[in-house]
Amino acid sequence: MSYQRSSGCDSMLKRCLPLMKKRQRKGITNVLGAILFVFAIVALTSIIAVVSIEYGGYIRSADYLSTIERERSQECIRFAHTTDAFGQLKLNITNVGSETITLNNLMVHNKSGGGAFTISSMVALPITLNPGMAQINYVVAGVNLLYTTDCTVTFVSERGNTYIIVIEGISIWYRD
Amino acid sequence: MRMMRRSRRGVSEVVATLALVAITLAAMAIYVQAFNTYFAGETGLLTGIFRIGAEQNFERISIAYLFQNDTQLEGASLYVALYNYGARNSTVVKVVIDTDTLEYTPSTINTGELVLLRLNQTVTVGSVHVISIITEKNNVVSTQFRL
Repeated sequence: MSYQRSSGCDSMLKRCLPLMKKRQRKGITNVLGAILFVFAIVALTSIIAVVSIEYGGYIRSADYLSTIERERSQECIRFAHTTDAFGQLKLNITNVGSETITLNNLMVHNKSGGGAFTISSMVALPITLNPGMAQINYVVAGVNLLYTTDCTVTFVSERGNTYIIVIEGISIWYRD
Repeated sequence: MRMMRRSRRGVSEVVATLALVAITLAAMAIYVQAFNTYFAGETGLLTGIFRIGAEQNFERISIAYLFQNDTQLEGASLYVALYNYGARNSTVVKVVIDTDTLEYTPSTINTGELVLLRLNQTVTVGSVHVISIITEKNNVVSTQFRL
């Protein structure tokens, strides 16, 4: 009886040992696999999320750049002028482009009077012209068409375009 | 037999738990480090490339006008009117006139602002020159001019 028992125990042990070893190895491999998988997923997800957000920002900036440069190239203004009895310059400003133009700065460089240079911000009261619109009789303060006049008047638009009017004596040059 | 099996299975679970705790702590450390880096204004290589490119695209300045005083006068200077029409404030760090590089004291031009820069340099009247404005974000605005 005892021989039979011991024989049964041995045979059971012999059968179980490989199974135990197998299970042990499989268990550790599974854990390691799960660890690597979780680590890889977390790392990849984080990297992809961060890079895609930054790439999205870059694409938005490129879109902004192309839009503003296209609008800038489509700005176009034509001038005409009159003077009153005292030589006061009055400008007719017409938007002949295809974009709305906002003139928000005016520079006057008086070359005859010691080179005085003034920048007048028109932000508070800008000239906004839709396509085809005109501003009639716009007075540039302090600029008269006299024989002694020698100055340059420059309008700067919101998109950074400049429109220059050169005045020498009673002669005036601009884009017409 | 059962006790042996249980005991080994238990060790494996403890190891797995420890490993997961270690992973969690490592992940938390990485995220804390990333947040610190983010709030310190630092970026990784790829992120930095995109971010710098985007900032460059948002920065737009134009040279509106150029003139200089009578060169016979003492203290004659070249003046440059710059207008910022971009979506970011711009800082001018260098000015290059023809082949001369002027180290310019950095000055910031806010969005929508028109400023006059005074350069301690004069150029010959009647000939064509090239001026380049270099900003902190490494944008370059150039134009030819003749006075």
